[in-house]
Amino acid sequence: MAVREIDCLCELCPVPLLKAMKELKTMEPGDVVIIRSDHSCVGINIKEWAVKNQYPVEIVEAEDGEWEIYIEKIKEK
Amino acid sequence: MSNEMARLIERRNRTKKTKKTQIFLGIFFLFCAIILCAELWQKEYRLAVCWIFGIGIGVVLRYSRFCFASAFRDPFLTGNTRLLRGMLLAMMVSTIGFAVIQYNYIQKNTIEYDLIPGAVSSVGIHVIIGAFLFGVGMVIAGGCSSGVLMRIGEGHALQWIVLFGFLIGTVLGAKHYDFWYQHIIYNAKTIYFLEYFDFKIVVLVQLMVLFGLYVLAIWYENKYRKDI
Repeated sequence: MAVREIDCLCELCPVPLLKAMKELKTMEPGDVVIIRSDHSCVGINIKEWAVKNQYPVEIVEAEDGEWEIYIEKIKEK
Repeated sequence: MSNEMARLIERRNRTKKTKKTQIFLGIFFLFCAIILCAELWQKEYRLAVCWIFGIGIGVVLRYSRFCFASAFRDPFLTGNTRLLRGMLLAMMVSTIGFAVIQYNYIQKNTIEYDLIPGAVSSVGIHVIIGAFLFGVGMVIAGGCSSGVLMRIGEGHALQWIVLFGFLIGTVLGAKHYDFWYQHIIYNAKTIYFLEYFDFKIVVLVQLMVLFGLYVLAIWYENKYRKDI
């Protein structure tokens, strides 16, 4: 299992989700990606998309105004 | 969720800093707002009403994350139409509300475009040009006008720059309005439906069109949802 991190601090709303989608494509099943963001709607945006596509997802508010979003690539559907 | 991910999150939660409590700040600002409201109420009650409504709308925008930019952007990027549908619903509600207001107004007064409650303005190519420019700017700036103001309140530094650009753009627009007016707006026709049709038909047709768009959005989401 590998853990990948994407640094999306100072990135605007659509960018983190697009980066996460790109990253998930190249990942092995069982890997986890951590997205760091300071944009408030990114978490909700990504969570909605991940739930819809059946990825386990979790949001942690690391500091005030900084969120970490954990997405795991599950076994191939 | 696998155990691996749960462990990662658990470890992260343990290293979290304790956050400063902001309850006292919140109470202080609420107190300030109430004092200002009382002051305004004594001077001019309308200002106080505007103040209350403004804060209410701000709170709703903040918690609902209602972002017009993402409402129009997400269908193309991710196939998510939830916000777009929300906006269509809001338009349906406002259609009914404005229909009642304007109907009552027209019963009592003659039709005068500038005095009708709500914005009745001419339609033409200038609307298309303006909408396109605004749409491009909105997606690059990461928020519409209401979203920018809401994010300034949240504490995003970038949106201050966007607001500055907004002010510059508005001033330029006002300065060059004459050019647009003489070339395009002057020739454009103002169409006000209530002049041509019965009031009930107009409302029903508009609601049906909006509902049709709503169904279309659901269909689009089911068909074009991007999966990996």
